[in-house]
Amino acid sequence: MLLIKCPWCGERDMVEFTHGGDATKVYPKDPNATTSEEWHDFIYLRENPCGEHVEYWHHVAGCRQWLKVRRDTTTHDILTTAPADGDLDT
Amino acid sequence: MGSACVFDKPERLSALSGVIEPGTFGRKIAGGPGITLRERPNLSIIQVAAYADTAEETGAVIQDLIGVLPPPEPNRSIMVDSIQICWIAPHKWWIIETDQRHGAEFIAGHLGNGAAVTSQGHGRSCIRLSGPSARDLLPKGCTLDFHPSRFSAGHCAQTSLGHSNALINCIDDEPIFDLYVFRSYAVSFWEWIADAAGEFGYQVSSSPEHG
Repeated sequence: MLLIKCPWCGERDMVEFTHGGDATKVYPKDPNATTSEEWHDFIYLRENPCGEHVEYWHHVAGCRQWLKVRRDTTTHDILTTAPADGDLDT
Repeated sequence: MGSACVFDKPERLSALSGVIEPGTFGRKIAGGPGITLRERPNLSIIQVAAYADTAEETGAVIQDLIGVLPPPEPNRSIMVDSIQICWIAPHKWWIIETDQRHGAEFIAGHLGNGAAVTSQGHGRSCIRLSGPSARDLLPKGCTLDFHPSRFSAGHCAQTSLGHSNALINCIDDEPIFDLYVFRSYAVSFWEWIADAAGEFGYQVSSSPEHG
């Protein structure tokens, strides 16, 4: 079981959260000037890193806020968390 | 009934009506049942969702109306004149009453566009859990720490309880917990909690018409 530190509620069990996908992808700045290849990359292509990864998680059974989580995919350590629009400590 | 009441008709019917039966059940415990359960039917639950930049003024308006500031701190609740105000998300609260003194329309009228006000009372069921074994029952279906040093009067939390999303509000260190679950899950939740309470022995007290 993972314990994920919600920025508001503190450490909560992973059963209260749902995974929200890769948080490193950034919406194209100018959609009209974005090529099909860039859209394809933004929508479909994901890294599958071995080690640290930044993800969105949703505290769906708790305060229902979205958060960013830096997680080690090999050890499942939760390294840092922040509100979805905040910055993770580096 | 207040002038802003919109809930007079039709007559409200609890989702647990006909399901909850008063009496004493489960294991026989010397000294009496460890758990007491009863429903708090027909509550008014008003959700006030402010914006980040209107949270302070929203809190001030609620304080003017009800006499107490909604808790700005996460997972805290406050009770005044039997009205419970629970933090449920950043700058978002539930105001829970046994009658419609303040009503969603009444509160919305005072808050203007600074907050979204939604009535949730018809969508939730509330079960009051008390008794000396209450703190032993909750961890059977929940991952939170219910030691008195971590969860006492004035603490609330939304979490998963008996596989249902629930708001748990501790209103007294006796202890007394009010458990709010989705109305459509009320019967399933009741079955879970009654089953979980069996080992402690439990009594079900009959519910007042309100609160």
